[in-house]
Amino acid sequence: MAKADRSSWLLRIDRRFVYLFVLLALMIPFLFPGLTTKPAPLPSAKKLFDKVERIARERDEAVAEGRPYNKVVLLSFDFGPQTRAELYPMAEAMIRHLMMRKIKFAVMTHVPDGAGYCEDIPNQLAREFDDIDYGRDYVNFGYKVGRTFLIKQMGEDMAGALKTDVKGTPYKDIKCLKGVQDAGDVALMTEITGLVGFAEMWIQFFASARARPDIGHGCTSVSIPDAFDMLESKLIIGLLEGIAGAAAYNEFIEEIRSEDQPPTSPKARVHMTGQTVAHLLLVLFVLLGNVGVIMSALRRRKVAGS
Amino acid sequence: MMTNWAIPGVLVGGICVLAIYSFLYRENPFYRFFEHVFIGISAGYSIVMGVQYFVWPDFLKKTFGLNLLPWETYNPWELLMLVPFIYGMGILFMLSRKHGWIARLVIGAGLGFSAGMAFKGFFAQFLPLVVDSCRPLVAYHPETGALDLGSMGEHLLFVVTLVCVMTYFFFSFEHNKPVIKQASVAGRYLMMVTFGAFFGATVMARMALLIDRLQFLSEDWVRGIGEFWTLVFGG
Repeated sequence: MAKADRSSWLLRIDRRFVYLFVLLALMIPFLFPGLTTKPAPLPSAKKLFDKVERIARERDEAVAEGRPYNKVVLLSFDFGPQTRAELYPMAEAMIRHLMMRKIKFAVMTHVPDGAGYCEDIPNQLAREFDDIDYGRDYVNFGYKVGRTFLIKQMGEDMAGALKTDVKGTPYKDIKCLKGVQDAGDVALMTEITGLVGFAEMWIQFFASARARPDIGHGCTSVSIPDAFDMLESKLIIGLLEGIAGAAAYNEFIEEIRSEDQPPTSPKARVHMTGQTVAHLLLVLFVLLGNVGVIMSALRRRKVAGS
Repeated sequence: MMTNWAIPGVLVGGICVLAIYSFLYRENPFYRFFEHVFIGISAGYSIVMGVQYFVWPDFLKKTFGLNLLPWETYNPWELLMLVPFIYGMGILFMLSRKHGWIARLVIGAGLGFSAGMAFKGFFAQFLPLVVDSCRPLVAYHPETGALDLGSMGEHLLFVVTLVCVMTYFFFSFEHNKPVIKQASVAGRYLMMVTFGAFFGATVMARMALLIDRLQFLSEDWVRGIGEFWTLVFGG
């Protein structure tokens, strides 16, 4: 028995050593900032990126032909500090893209924790761009209660459901929402959340009698397998998959960014690199654990046979 | 450079993070204290946000005309908002043994609303999923018109997985016929692959949270300590 114990030392490594190794692995991109890896160009994130590009093209064509274009992009930031690490960079990337293309947008949240992010992310990014103004280019509705009921009403009557922005400005006086009456006037709705059922609420209820807008989704890594159902069946048109989705989206933005536009935040890329190193380490630990189990089993069989 | 008001927030934030992660070493009072602080703050914050963003602007101000400008006239019909408010407050009667039935009326109405919405939601979300599950096993490339072997393989894998997993969940008959038994076993293994994907995704999420906190500690918190030192003891 003593021999068997000695052979299975791999199975008795103190979990705190594992934590320590993971910690050291995750620190690598902070200790060596030059060592970042280029994120994979995820097709699901590219679909969302392409949709925003299409909206910009449609708007430009309408303006060139002298047609009115009253559509906006709606974003719902339903996350708090618990999932900030993954969702903040993707919210930031999407808003940066909208500001780069001067697409009008509105932000809101269904959870109290999200109100701060609705305020911070667009306002901080607007300071990086010279010509983006609150009210004219974007609006923040902050925390709104009602969830499913609110979304259903928004689908049919945006002004009646949302009433005022965070500053108390009545809906009809908000410049960027002139002509936006119902879901048919929303070019893209994107739900960024780690909570179960929130993207589904928009899919199920956000529609008017004349149209159902395209819906995008940014989710935490935990919910990726669930979100793929919706992507595969085309209930959503694009998906940002955790921090990898945010990093990929930033890379797409960098490809189209002109010299005079502010650069994307390196945060998502740094996070992605740390995660890559930690994943490799975890795979190594899983392999070592399996080697330990096999060695232990072989030793037991040998002892039983002798 | 942080503002003087931001420094205490960053310093306390760093201590909170270290306290919560101290659990990785072992359960300790430092962790337990900050866990309670976090729960308390979350609950309090939610209440304040509810009042600030809904109760005050959308209910109290509107119902009692507190948002009117001097030249605007109050519409007494706004008081009708009190009807659903009083009805909703009836849920507090669940604390009373004698008048608990009033709370049940409120809960019943809520269940009715939710059931109706869920019915509509089911058709809006799950019917497209069911329709999408019917995939052609012979697929052609949309541009060239040639057989698309990649898509065909993908669809075949999808259909086989769907049938096997559904077979596993047929509990109305015994899985003793060879075909059904093998399909059921295959369904179980295919589900285990999915659980592996879930596990991998969960690990990825937890790593992302840890990286974010490490970045906060190594950049913001360290800088906060430096600026606090400068502020208190001078450069």
